[in-house]
Parts: sequence; structure tokens; C-alpha cells
Amino acid sequence: MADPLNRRTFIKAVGATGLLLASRPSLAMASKPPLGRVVIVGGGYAGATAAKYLRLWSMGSIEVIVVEANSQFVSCPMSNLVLGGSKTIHDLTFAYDALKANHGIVFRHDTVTAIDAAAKKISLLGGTLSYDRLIVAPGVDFNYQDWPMLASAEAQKQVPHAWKAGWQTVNLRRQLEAMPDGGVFVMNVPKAPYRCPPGPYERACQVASYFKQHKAKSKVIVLDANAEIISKKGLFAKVFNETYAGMIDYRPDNAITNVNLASKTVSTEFDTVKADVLNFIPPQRAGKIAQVAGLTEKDYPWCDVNFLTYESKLVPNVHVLGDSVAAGLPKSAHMATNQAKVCASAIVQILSGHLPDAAPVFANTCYSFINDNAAMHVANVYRYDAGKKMMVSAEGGGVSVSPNEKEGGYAQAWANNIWADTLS
Amino acid sequence: MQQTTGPMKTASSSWLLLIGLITSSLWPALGHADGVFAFTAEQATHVRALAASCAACHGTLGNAVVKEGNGPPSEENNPVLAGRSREDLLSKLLGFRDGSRKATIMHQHSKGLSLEEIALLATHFSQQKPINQPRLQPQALKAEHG
Ligand code: HEC
Repeated sequence: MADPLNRRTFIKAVGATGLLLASRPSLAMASKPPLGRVVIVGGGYAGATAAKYLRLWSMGSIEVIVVEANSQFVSCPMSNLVLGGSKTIHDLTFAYDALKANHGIVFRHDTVTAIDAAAKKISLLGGTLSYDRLIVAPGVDFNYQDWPMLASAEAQKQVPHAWKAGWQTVNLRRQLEAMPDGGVFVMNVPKAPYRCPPGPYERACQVASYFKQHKAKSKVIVLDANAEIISKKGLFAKVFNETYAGMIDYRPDNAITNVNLASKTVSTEFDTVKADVLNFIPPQRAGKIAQVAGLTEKDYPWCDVNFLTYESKLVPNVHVLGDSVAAGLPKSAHMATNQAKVCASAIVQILSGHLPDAAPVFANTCYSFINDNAAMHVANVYRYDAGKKMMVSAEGGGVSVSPNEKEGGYAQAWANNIWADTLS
Repeated sequence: MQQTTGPMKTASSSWLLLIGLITSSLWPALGHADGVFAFTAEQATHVRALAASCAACHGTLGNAVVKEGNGPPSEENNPVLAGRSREDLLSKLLGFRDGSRKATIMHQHSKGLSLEEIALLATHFSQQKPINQPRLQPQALKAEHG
């Protein structure tokens, strides 16, 4: 630590932090990259970020291939605003072109069917790929096991989840637009953990915001499988009770036990509610490929990893990122990109014969919009605890005092920045 | 580094602590040669991922996206950090940390960081090249998305 540093050490150290970007990794990429190949399954926030930072921090000397079924990136963050009406899905949809061109990243628009960890190979619908390190970042899988009546694409046209942003989001918005004034929108909150802890409560606010402006006699009923609001509790409770008093009917500890698709009627242990528009957010587990590849245990549907490298505790040389990880922390986009950066840094270190950071630290933030313009946040720094071997909340985190328009501006700026950071 | 006093209006405890660090151990540990500050290999690895976690709001390597006039009226830009003076960044971060500087969110983020990390971050971002980072342009969602 204390050796006197000269200019050469400086260049080396700063190079590692990415200052020397003048040499574009795409141009610097030799025919056979000297440090090896990383294959990334999934081009969401985690996968795309890992791809970019592997290229940046290896100065282009790691080959990166991303396998992603979709040709476009659709952001889940901000997608509740499509329901509120202040955004369209097309405001949240991006190409991968800038990411590919700026960093020399190869994309295969394909689906992974199997992982052979012993041979360090994956099978795709259209061929195989070998790797030195594999990153699995598939997001969440919706578990319709207990909800067979809602599992088909046909059923989801009537009762969308809209919990992965895309045409289901648009469909739900259209149903809200078509609903007569005085109608009832019913949605659930699945048992935690699920993707985006404040997301369901933000959704309730967005729908209420739309109703308040256009259909003031309508109602929002929120059936929460959890005992209480599980993110920004005080803030959301206040917004429900004050801003949307008489419109949002929040019912904790009220898990849905039955759904009648034809009549859009749902039952809980306590109530039976008939919906005009029904939104069912299913229970969630690690992405399908993580289950298929043995990255989850039988009785626990999330992936255990080493938090210094995000390498799976079950399968060597395979790293897991994003919502599939069992971290006990919010499954957010910001968190997914943080994990991706720690993992990318660790893989660069390992493939070049160095040690990963022994004590990673990162910041997480989730903004929620309560109407078209006002937002509120929860923010926390997380620090590796060597005793517990996990990321724990550091001092000083907290939430907004109240929702406000200034933070609405910052929340939009957050989105603009995380999109540019992840995808260009 | 003796002239690193910055806006010293608030002689708060974290400022005094930092000045202690500057004049004793911390800055030499950051490597001061020929007027540039360098990190040890461990510090460089630690700060690159930590600094990258700021990118969600402040852009890749501190180059926050710039507003192009078509956002909602309330939209604000997040501050650019790239290429700012180390002293300026330090004074802002320490001000957030001790509460003397008003913030919507940075007081919460800066309190989770150690003084060494704050010094590393200020140095890191001061060394990045400022560029004009445009907003990423969205496009129409294609029909094949289910
Ligand atoms: C969730 C978004 C967010 C994250 C993450 C974030 N910042 Fe900030 N930052 C802001 C906002 C917003 C401001 C404006 C002050 C405020 O309201 O908090 C700001 C202001 C600053 C300023 C003052 C700039 C000026 O010109 O006044 C500095 C320095 C800074 N941040 C550094 C950092 C560092 C270093 C990190 C990472 C450890 C970081 N920020 C992470 C949102 C963020």
C-alpha cells in the first residue's frame, strides 16, 4: 500500500479506473483477446452493465458475448408511468447498438437451453458457445404453478402482470383507458422477495393519479400478501391516505387465494372483490435458466453467490447477477448494475491474475413517482461485511421527507443516466 | 496540498478530520508525484466499482447526461463530476456528510462512505475527462415483444 508511486504506477492505476478511454476497446481488441472470453446470459440492467464494464476495465482484452432473446431493451423502471399516462412504452425502449459499437460487444439474439459447467460450454437454440467465465443474469421468472388459470398468454391478455415492461404494460394501460368512470382496478402485491419492492405501491399511485385526473369516481384496491407496505412504508401510507384518500383502498395481509378469470373476481381469506381491470403480479423466483442450470437449491428459488465476485456457490466459474441473486437486498435496477460492476471488476482481476476488491461498497437508490411529476426516494450505501460474508446496509441511508417535484426531476435524471450508463 | 482549504466556512468535525488526514497519512497514501495523485492497486480496484455505482445518477465516469430541452418541465440535470477540481468535490461531499450542505439525497449517500473513500472518489472524478454525454434516444417498441 505504501510504496512510493511514480508516473508509471499512476498510469497503471488510473488505467484500471478507466481514464485511458482514448484507446477504444473495440479498436484495441486483438484477434484473440489475451485474457479470455466471458459469455453473459441476459441483456437487462445487470447483463448489459457487466458487458460494458468488463470491456472498459480490461481495456478491451476480454472478449464479451451477450446472449439475449430480445432485440430491444425495455426499462422496467419508469414503466409504471405508462399506466399513469405521462410516458409511453416507446419512451422506455432502447436499441443495443450504441453498447455494441462503443465497446466491441458481440450480441447473439438467441435463447440458452443448457449450461455444461464441466466443459465450460452453453447450448443455445442455434449452436453452442464456450466460455472462460459465464455470467447468468436472467431476471425473475414468474411462478404460475399455483395459478394455472393465469399462466397462458391468452389469459394474460385479460389479466396482465405487466411486471416485465413491454406490450403487457401497454395492454394494462389500454384496459384502464377503456374502463368506465366508477370502475374498480384491483391489483396484488406478491409475497416478498420480488422484483422492485416499491414498484407495486408506485403502481397503485400511478393508476390513482390517472383516475384522479380522468375518472374521479373510480377506485384502486391493493391486495397485499405482505403484512405491511414493504418499501417507503411511511411515505406510501401517507400518500394513500392523503393524496389518494377515498380512492386507494390498501389491504395488508390479504393474499389472493383464488382468481375467477371469466368474472375477474378474486378472493382472499377475508374478501371477495370484483374487478373491472385486474392486474395480477405473480410470485417470483430466479430466472428459468438459473433453475435449469442448478444455480438454485431445491427448496429455495434464488441463487446464493459469493458477494466479492458474484460467483455461484453451487457451480464454479458461473456468476449470477441481478434479480436472481439471493442477497436479501432490494431487487432494483440500480442494485443489478452495482452487482454487475463488482462482478466485472472481480472477473478482470481474476483473469489477469490479481485479487478482487476485498471489501466492495456501493450505493443503491429507488425513486417512486406518486403522480406525473412528484417523486420520492429510498437511498442506502451497502458495504461488504467480512464476518457475515454479505453486503449490509451502511450508516446514513434514508428516504425523502415527502414526495416532491424537484425529486421528480432528479428521478428522471436518474433514469436518463442509468440508461446511458447501461446501454452506451 | 497545503493550499487545500476550500470553502472553510464550516469548520466542522469532518473537515478537521480530513485536514488531519491530508497533512498526515491519507494524501501520501494516494501517492503524490509530479503534481498528480495516484492510487495503490488496491485503492484503484476499490474505487472503480464504488465510483461506478455513482454512475446511475452522475453518468459513466462522472459524465452525467445533459438536458436536451424535450424533457418534462420539472426535469433537472444531475451534476457532472468528471474533471471537477478535487477540492471542490471534496468540499461538496464533506458538506453533504456533515449536513452543512443542503441535499435531497447526497447527505444519505455520503454518510455511508468513509473519509478515505470520499477522498478517493474526489480524486477519481477529478481525473476523468469531461465529455458532452447526450441522452440515449429511445425508439418504438417492436411488435414481436410478447
Ligand atoms: C440516486 C442518485 C445519486 C447517486 C447514486 C449519487 N448522487 Fe451525487 N448527487 C445527486 C443529486 C440529486 C445531487 C444534487 C444534491 C442533492 O439534492 O442531493 C448530487 C450531488 C453530488 C455532488 C455535488 C455536485 C455539485 O456540483 O454540487 C457530488 C460531489 C456528488 N453528488 C457525488 C456523488 C458520488 C461520489 C456518488 C457515489 C458515491 C454519488 N454522488 C451518488 C444524486 C446522486
